[in-house]
Order: sequence, then structure tokens, then C-alpha cells
Amino acid sequence: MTRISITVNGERCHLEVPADSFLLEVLRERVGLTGAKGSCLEGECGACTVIVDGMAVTSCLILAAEVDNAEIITVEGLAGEGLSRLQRAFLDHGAAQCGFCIPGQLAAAQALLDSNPAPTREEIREAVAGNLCRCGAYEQIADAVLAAAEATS
Amino acid sequence: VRGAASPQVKERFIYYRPASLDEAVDLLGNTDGEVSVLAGGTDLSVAIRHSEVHPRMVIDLKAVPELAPGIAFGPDSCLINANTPLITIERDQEMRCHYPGLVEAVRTVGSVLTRNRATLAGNICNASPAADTPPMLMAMGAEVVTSGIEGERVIPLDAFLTGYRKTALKQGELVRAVSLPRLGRRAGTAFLKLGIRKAMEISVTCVGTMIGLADDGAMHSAGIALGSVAPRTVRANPAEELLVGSQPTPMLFADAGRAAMEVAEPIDDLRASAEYRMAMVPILVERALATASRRAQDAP
Repeated sequence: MTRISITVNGERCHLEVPADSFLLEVLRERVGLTGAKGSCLEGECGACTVIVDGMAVTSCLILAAEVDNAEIITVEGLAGEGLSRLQRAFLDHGAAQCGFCIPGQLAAAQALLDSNPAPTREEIREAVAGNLCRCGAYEQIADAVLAAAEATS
Repeated sequence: VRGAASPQVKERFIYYRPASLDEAVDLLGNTDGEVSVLAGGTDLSVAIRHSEVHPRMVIDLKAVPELAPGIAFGPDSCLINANTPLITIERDQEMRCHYPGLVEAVRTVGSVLTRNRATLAGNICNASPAADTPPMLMAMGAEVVTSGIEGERVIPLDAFLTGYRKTALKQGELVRAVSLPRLGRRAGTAFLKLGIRKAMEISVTCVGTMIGLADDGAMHSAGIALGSVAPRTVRANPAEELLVGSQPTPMLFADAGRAAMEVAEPIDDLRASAEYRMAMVPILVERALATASRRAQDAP
């Protein structure tokens, strides 16, 4: 077993985890945050995307032991009193269809906006290229991120 | 419940995070049984999840200061430390300026989510014949710097990749850095990857090319390497020999493309037939050479 301390959405968590456990499962089963989804479990679909130390990553490919002392933001950490500007834009633009990929889309898009507050449509498409949406709402997702960026600037 | 006690489970491996290169090399060299080295983990984690590897120990290199992310330009070489994530390489202004072909190759690896973790050293060590960065690195004449119990070695990438998912690493050795040669003032690089999608794609065929021009405009050096058409990344020596000493012309690039087919021995798989892959080799080589040549000519 490995002891790790992680900050998840601003809250410090001290956990003892098996060496072979992955961040995705630890977030869902130990921390109790089920926003990040397990789907392909091989880094292909992006449903498990979370932000680790400012970078959007697929949590299914990261051992929990690797992120000791890291600061993690999941989709649950995006909203404050109400929905975030980005989340609101997703609703306004019909970006969320079935919703399964949305926690990952939001995490990837939020990490982009944090480092690049005024991205181009092409930069947005690149940032969420690893997040598959089987409803095919890619255009609406790009519209939403663009709108959230414009509203901020 | 946050911070709840964990259930008792059997772990498949022990996790170690050595704090120095010496400690890492010592662990690697003196541990019995299968040991897996972890850098970005984007390949290793999939292999662990699919039980394709059964390590007794996973050695995470992220806390080794000697491998810390960093790119250092020297007079003769550019050293990319083993823990440097691909995203750092593609965003580095000097890399974009001096090695546009490598930046093109890096940007085709997975997605931003992948490249935020994955490393250049890991892409090499995984030794997949379909890896994106080795063809460009091999065409440039990149070398792999290793550290081990017996000291440091510098191995040309062409010799480092020994076969299908096999490298020249000995037990107790790890990759410390990737060394790129400083290309001459009038040099150009270009990478092309044929796939079905722009992101999250494994190539049908990919090609890395490098051209160096002499003062009279003739090619004094040329590098061409192919991915996804052989058990390992292969250098197209016959095509390179055709170019060196001559003036760059579209006709010559087409000839080089055909000559490159000599080293390709593709197979059929779910992504493409062997025949299609082979047919794409001359086209990609010709186009990549044209871009590399234009970049060499446009160099300030």
C-alpha cells in the first residue's frame, strides 16, 4: 500500500492506496467523486479527464501513487455558488446531449481556458480532440467553449 | 467517505519513486524479476490494465532530478531530458524554430491529454513500430543517452531500436535523455503521418525527413526514416544515398520515394493492407522531402 496526500477540488485527502490502483478509480471509489467516467480505460476516449496540477489528463492512465501531493480538479470542482461560466455555456449551446462525455469535455476545456483565456476555434478543437462525444455534439461543444471565453474577456 | 481506510487487496506490483539517478539505476539493476520503468505512463498503464506486462516492481522516474523536464541547447546538440512531456517540446519556441519536423511528429501523438503526460524518451523506449516520433528522430540522426550501473552510453537511435518492441537497453539501464544534433544553418526537417483522423490516431504510414544544403545548394546530408511499415522504425538508406551530393529537385524526391520502398516490409492489419502501406511510402517520402527542402532553402 502507498500513502498519498492529494488536494481534490480544494479539499485535502489522505489516502492509503494499493500500488496498482489508478487515479480514476481512487477518485470514484475512495474520494466519492463519480463525475470522471471510466469508459475505454486506455486513454482513448477522454471520459475520465481531470485536471492535475493545471494539466488536463486522462485519469485512467495515471497510478494514484504518481499524483502524491498533486492538486486535482474534477468536474465537481468547476461550479461555485452556481454553475461556472463554462458549464452555463454548455447548457446554453446544447453541448451536453447524453452527457456521458461532458465531465471530461469540461475538464479539458477548463484547463485550456485557464492557460489560454482567448483560444481560437482551432485551439479549442485541438484541446478537446482527445474527448470523444458519441452524440456528435462537437460543434456545439466548440461553440460553448468559444462563448465562455468571449464572455470572460 | 474521504480518507476512509482502504480494503485489504493484493497488489500486483510494488511502486517505487527513487529520488536520484543512482538510486533508480541501482533499483533497476539489482531487482530480480520483471521491472517496469514509468515516465509518462501513457503506454505502460494500458499494458498494466490489459495484463500485457506483469512487473514485480514499477519504478517511477518522476522524482529523479537528473531526468527533470528540460531542453538544453548546446553548440553541437540539443538534450531533451527523459521526463520532458511532449507538450513542452511542441510549445518550445526554439524547438519550433530548429526542429519543425519533430514538433510536427510530436503533435500527432494521441491528443493534448496524452501529450501532457507522455514523454519523448517513453515513445522511443516503448519501441512500437507505429510510434510517431522515432522516424523523425532517426532521420535527424538523434541519439539516446543511457545511464546504467556500468555508466553512460550514447547510442544512435537506429542502433537503439533493435526490433519489434525491443531496444538496446541492458538490465539496469535507463534512458537519461534524447540528444538531437544541431542541424546546419541551411537544414530543414519535415514529418508526415497518414491516418484516418487528426487526433488519437495510430499511423497507417509515417515518414520523417531531413535535408541539409551546402553553400552551392546541393544536398550535403539527407535523412529519411519510415514508421508503421516494418517491425521497427527503419532508415531508408538507399533513398538517402540517392540524394546526397545532388541538387534538390522534385524529380529526385520522387526517385527517393521509390527507393525508400526497398526498406519497407509492411504487414496487413486492421488499419491498412500491406499493399496500401507500401503504395503510400513513395508519396509520403516525396512530399515530406519537398517540405524539408523548402524549409532548408527558406532558412534565414
